Amino acid sequence: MRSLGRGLATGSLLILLVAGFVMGNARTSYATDYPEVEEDCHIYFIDIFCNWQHRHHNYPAVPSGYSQIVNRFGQPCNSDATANYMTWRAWDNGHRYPLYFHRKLGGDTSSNLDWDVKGHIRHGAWDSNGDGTAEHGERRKHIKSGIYTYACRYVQGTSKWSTHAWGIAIDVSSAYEPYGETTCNVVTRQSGVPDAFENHNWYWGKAFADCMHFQYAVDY
Amino acid sequence: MRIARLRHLWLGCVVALLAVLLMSSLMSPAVPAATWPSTVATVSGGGLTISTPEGGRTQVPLPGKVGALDLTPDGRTAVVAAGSGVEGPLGGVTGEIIVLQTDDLTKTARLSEAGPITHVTISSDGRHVAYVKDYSELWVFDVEVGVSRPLTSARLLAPGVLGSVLFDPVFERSTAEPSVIVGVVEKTFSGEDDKLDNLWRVPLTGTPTKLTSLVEGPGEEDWQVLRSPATLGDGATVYTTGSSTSNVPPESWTASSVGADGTSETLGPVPPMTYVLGIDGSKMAALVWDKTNGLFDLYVQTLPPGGTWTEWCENGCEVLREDVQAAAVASS
Repeated sequence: MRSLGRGLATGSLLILLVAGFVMGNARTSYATDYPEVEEDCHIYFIDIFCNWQHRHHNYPAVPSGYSQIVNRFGQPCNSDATANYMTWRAWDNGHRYPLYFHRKLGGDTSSNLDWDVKGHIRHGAWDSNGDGTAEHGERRKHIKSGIYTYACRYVQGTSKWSTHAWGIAIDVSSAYEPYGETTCNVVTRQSGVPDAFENHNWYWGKAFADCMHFQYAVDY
Repeated sequence: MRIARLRHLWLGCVVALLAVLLMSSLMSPAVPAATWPSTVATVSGGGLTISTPEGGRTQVPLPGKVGALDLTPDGRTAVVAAGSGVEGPLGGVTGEIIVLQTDDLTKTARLSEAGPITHVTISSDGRHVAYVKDYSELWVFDVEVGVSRPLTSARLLAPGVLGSVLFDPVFERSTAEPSVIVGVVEKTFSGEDDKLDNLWRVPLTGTPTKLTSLVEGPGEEDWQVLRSPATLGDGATVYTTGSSTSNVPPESWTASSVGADGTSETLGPVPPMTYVLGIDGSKMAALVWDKTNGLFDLYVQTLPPGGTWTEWCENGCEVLREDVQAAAVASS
């Protein structure tokens, strides 16, 4: 009887482990399925099912200025600018934003945006409350409504294409971070969101009073 | 003996060639210098170069880099914003606004400004300079008195529009009481890129009025932007527009004009992101954006009779300068 119980327990544990392994691997085989992994994490409350760890795979060099951006990412609004797709759910209203971005920054080509940056924000430990306790997924609470990536458009009132026209820029929490404000409301240094981007080659727009904006380029 | 004869033959050929060259230069008509625009000011690498009919090309020594410039219609007076470059997509400089004479480069007025300056324009008589400060405020500087004051702001002209800016101000030329035509961002994408622009007329004393009535398409990603108003002697304002309705680049941009009475006319197609600098009736000077390097080439397009065209450069174009950051021309 005791051996039967031990056998059942061992068997159940094995099945759980195998299921976890299969589910985890099945989800991680396509970068665009990543948001669903995040959903499942919330259902099971067990980190092993998330199976996320950063990869830092094949990041393009960061271009400086217009000519280097064109050399690295092509002309504005070209088809590569929308080659990757992911969704990102805003913390405040639950809206899932569809996001297109450049081929070289995600999907099968690179692990940069959809896997590493987003993964750090979704799962990485961070003490955004400032209480000395780092908790997993704290940064995600600062990704609020108004999340945008690709758009074929110009910087307002100028002769410059916006970095969004290459799919190499992302705005987060834009409903709370109007352009021109030098004090950030949601995307603060303490929120940990800037670190998650900056540690993966993204440049934060706070330097030019654009707290919501991150771009994979400098001097532009 | 033979050698001496050959030497004479050689000398004879040289003399004959020189004679032919001299005669051809005397007989051929002189190559006419470009008469319009008479004065051209350009910015390259942050430095200012002015070309006048009398003085040739002169590089003007200025403190820091030049961020914006303009010329009076007669080309005698220039205004520049010069100083330290400001980081960011909207750019500009912090430093000084300087008014100078183009013939001897005498600086006749200077104004220090702490906020980023992105655009300057000077009135036809050279007595007023209007400029955009902090991206969203339009100020006017009385050159003779040496005092500046605010005229209006994006907050007043586009209330409630997050991140709205003012751009491309230009003095109206025909009115006794000078007014400034200025671009206003009336809708934005997430508060940082323009989705809809329009022109406003801002008198130095009085209430601003809307000059154009552009509307963008109904789609979430649609946009209709406007650039580079240039004012003419008859009260009309020429500007360029581009639009997109499917989140792809516009196939073409268009130059249009709006009269003092508000009537609009389409002039013809222009390359994307073309800035009209001036029109003299038979020619139009414009900066054309070069997608290979992000700089501009200065074109002078010969206009067909009637002043409208169906194809860019259909009556001929001349490229006056290449790879400049900004330019202004004497438009009279």
